[in-house]
Amino acid sequence: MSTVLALETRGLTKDFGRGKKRVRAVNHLDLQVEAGQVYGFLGPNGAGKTTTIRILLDLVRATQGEALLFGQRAYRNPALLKRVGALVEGATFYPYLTGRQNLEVLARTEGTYDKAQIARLIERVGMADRADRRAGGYSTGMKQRMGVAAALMGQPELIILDEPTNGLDPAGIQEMRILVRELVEKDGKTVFLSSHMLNEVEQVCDRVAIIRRGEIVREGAVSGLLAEQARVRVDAQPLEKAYAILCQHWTTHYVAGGSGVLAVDRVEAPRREVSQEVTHSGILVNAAREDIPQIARKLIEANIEIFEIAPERQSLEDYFLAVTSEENHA
Amino acid sequence: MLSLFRAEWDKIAGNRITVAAFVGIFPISAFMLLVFAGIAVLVSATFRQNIVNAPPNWMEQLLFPWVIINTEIGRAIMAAFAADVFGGEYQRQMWKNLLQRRGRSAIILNKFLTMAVFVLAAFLLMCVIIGIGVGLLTALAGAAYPPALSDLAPGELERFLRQFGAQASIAFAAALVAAAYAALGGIFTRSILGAVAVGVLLTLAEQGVALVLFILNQIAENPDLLRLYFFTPGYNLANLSTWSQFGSGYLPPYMTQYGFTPLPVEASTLLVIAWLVGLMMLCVWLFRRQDITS
Ligand SMILES: Nc1ncnc2c1ncn2[C@@H]1O[C@H](COP(=O)(O)OP(=O)(O)O)[C@@H](O)[C@H]1O
Ligand SMILES: [Mg+2]
Repeated sequence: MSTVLALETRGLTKDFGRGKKRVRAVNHLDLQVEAGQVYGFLGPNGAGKTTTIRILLDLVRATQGEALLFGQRAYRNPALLKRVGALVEGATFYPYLTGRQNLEVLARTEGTYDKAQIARLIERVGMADRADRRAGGYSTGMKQRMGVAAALMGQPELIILDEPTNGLDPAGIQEMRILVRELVEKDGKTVFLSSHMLNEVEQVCDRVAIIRRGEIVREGAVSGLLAEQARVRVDAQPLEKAYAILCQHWTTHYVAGGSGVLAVDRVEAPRREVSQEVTHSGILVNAAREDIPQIARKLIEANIEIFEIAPERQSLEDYFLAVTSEENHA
Repeated sequence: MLSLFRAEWDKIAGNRITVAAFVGIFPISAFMLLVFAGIAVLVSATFRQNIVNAPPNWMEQLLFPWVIINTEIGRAIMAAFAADVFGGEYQRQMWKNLLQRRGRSAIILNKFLTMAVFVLAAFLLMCVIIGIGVGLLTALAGAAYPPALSDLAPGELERFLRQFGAQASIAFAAALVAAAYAALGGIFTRSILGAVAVGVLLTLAEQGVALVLFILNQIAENPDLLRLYFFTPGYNLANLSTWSQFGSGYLPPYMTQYGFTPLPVEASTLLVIAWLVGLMMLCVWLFRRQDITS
């Protein structure tokens, strides 16, 4: 593996405040983002996404560890930052200048002023008819669009977008999704996108790191994470017997209440102790759709009556809720 | 670098209300005064006669605005203006957009430069407006506007230009000191209002230093304490301005009785430069180590 990572953090840690008021916003975070993909940085509010991004942009100094861009330390390295374009935590502008003037001022600050490029970017984010209005009158969604245009100025290789769809309407979210995919697929850029919305990441990202309380809880290809989480619901009689058989092969647990269903988890995941006191409505098996014939065969061989075996479609959202809450009682 | 200067200039110039309130006020009030004077010339025969009897001197008219600019009030206004230039980036949460595009030292030093050039341009405009406006008034009154270039004694024009240049340089330095005070206020309070408060307070506090030293001397009866006033930027700027205008230095009246003499031009120049370099380095140092969390 000789390719240089577009973005990397090693043991990145940030504490805010001192003494009793100390808050650890980022906790020994290790990220590795290869170039040429959309990388999702997913976590609930307050998870430490923005703080991580601020450290990457050298706005905030890490307490420990380091942040690297293209293999170089980002700390006090303004030349390196020219290869990055970023929208950080809600787009902001000089309210008394127009959107276009704001982009011009920012481009001149960087020394990459290009009138035609600015016009193209304004067009690209769908702000052509509003670019010459004062930014002070922009809605949140309009600001976010302009903020993305600002992030794209000056031909950056890596684009960091911190919750870019905040304040956008559904159509705007859809456009943003298309734009982000285009940036990677057509323009060959790398996008690092933070979000607290799972479906957003699921639809647009290739890989994702899920972060909670400043720590990574899961990391992997989006498709992989979804497959890992595949589940099958089983409703059969007698349920206890079915459970006993299935739990030898898959992680399996009862579903309480309702009408007799069981979920089966993949065996890689740690098995859980299941309490048997309640009336169960079924079992959930951590298994993929491909495993259904095998599940059926095992149950039939044991003379169990099957009422239903159905794959549970689970979005990353459920997965996200599962992994972020599972640490709760740890 | 030129591009960075242009960026800052566009930001400053685009902020019309602030510019009008704290910079435009100088040329605008000059213009208003001239309009009133013009009306007076038109309606009052005595006023016209007064002008004819003692026609104004254009060299004096061009130098006169600096007397207003190079005062504590002038510097306080500059500090208020600089507060927006520095504190505004915090208040409008713009640092996160700027610092990913250029190094911190370059941005902050460029702010000092652009801000000072901007106010200097406004002061020059004020001089031009007054110089030309008063000329128009004298023409209206049917008076001459001496001295004619042909009447000038050898070296007189040069002396005028040197004096004008000195006053402009003092104003430039004063703007930088005011900007540094406001920048410190911005860095510590992260708001425009905080920067205004700190900037204006520090500017006026220099007079306060003189007062405190005066009182301390009354109590301790140690006149050497008064000497500390010589080290403030405010004293040295005033001293340089007085040297340039009258050929002798500035000393607060109560200090003469203890046998103090004003600092020489060279000492004041060095002290002002030392203050400027020190204050700007302090700002850069503080800003470079600051977390930008908004
Ligand atoms: N300037 C600050 N001072 C103190 N705590 C902060 C500061 N900025 C962020 N935090 C805290 O750090 C944690 C992470 O915040 P943040 O990075 O903004 O999360 P996210 O972007 O994932 O919502 C939160 O608990 C937040 O309260
Ligand atoms: Mg955030």
